[in-house]
Amino acid sequence: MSSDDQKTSEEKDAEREAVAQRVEQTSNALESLLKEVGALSEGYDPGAFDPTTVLYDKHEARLQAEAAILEEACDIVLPEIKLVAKPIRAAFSEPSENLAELETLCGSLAARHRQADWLDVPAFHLDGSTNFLGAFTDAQDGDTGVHTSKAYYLLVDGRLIEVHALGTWAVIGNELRDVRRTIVSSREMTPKEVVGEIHLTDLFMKLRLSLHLSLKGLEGQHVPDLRERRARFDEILTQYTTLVQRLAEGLRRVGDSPG
Amino acid sequence: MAEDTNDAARQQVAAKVLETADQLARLLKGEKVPEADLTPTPDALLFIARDEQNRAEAAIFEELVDLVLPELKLMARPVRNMYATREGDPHGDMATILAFLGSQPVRHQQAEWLDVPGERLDGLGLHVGVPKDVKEGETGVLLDRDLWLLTDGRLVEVCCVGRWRIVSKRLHLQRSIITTRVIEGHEAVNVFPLDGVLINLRGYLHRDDALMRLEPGSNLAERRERFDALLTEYTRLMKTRTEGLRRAGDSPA
Repeated sequence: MSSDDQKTSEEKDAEREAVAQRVEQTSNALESLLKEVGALSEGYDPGAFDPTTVLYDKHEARLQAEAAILEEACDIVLPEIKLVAKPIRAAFSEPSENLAELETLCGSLAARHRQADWLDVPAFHLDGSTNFLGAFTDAQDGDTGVHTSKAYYLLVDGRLIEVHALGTWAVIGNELRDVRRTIVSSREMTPKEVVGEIHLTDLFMKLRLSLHLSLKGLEGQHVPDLRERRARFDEILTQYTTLVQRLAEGLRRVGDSPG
Repeated sequence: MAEDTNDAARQQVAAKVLETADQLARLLKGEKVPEADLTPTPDALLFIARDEQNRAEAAIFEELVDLVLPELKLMARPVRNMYATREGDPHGDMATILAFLGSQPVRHQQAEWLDVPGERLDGLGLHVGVPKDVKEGETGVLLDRDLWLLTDGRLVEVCCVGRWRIVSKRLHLQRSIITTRVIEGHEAVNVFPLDGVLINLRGYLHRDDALMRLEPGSNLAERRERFDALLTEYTRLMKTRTEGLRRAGDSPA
């Protein structure tokens, strides 16, 4: 039998077709058997229309449209971001009590991920938070627990990065202490993956902030076409806000419709 | 105190507080202070709109949850069962993990709702690096955040931490619950993307197994119809929104 590389595209298509036919025949035979033994009711129709397939398609289309908007928004703010960006690694370097123990516990793959080149490239924090997992709600003096962090960054070269971290906290007296933390994973993401993880609203709010920085460090720095870029950003943001408002109105009508 | 606070919103509030404090100090010194500009910024309007969307989504989600509860009760299992380590790591040391987790997770693991039957509606899991780029003997961390619907209608979030190891090309897991809490519908749809949750919810109404035929919930046909009507309307709104997004992205710069 020839290897996959040696087959013509016609041969591959014929093989795929044969496999598809066998799958369909097996599926039909299985359904008949299940009905025979009473495992499927007569009224059961596995081929009936399932509206979730449409929802899935629309979900994908929405992510693609949002990704295109995120890309433009990132391009608009990049000149300002370059002036304030700091390496991602610095954000996870403190605190570090008993760090070696934590890093050992997190395993070999986490150690490799901590060597990613982009962790040393200046970056702007787009979104994310540390979840202290109950430390603020029910921790008592002497309690210890775990915190997890998830953060998204825009690098000065335009790449988008996700970072996950793990650490521990302790309550000493009335004080909540962040004891130690380490990066456990990091990956480069596409804009579509980012909008799949974060609300575009949150991204817009953080990105807009970067266009309105009033830090002393920015004085005298060259930020080309700032006024035009601010106007364009707010134009996109306002259009997006209108869409969200309409969506909220539509959702309220759906929710209020008679059952 | 909210633990997942949006950084941008927090920074905006902090800036506003500082500005107000500065104006107050100047007023107390008898200085003239320009009248505050009360026009909401574009991002403030977006924040309000997003909040309205969240509430409206939560209302739909809560109705859909009510529609599936009778069937969910037939299949639900205690939440705690899901987190029992099914495949122990022969080379691992669970005691090390438990010591690392600290004292507070021990209390959370005693939450009464973990023994109530429920179904997992969605999960935001992170098996770091699995399965794309792992090698034999490799070890790593997993962080999971799951949304559960209990048979009594409560929504519960469960977070767990664990370790994995590849042994003879198989994934071995050890994990433990670190926190759990009862959450409201609006919190659920804010953390867990609604589209995925709705797809999972519909599945409970359309399972054709022996239990459903023996003990069908009342008005199943009507509930299915109502569920699909809401889902179809929701999908239509998403389609309209996507078309609008494309127009916003295509508008001339």
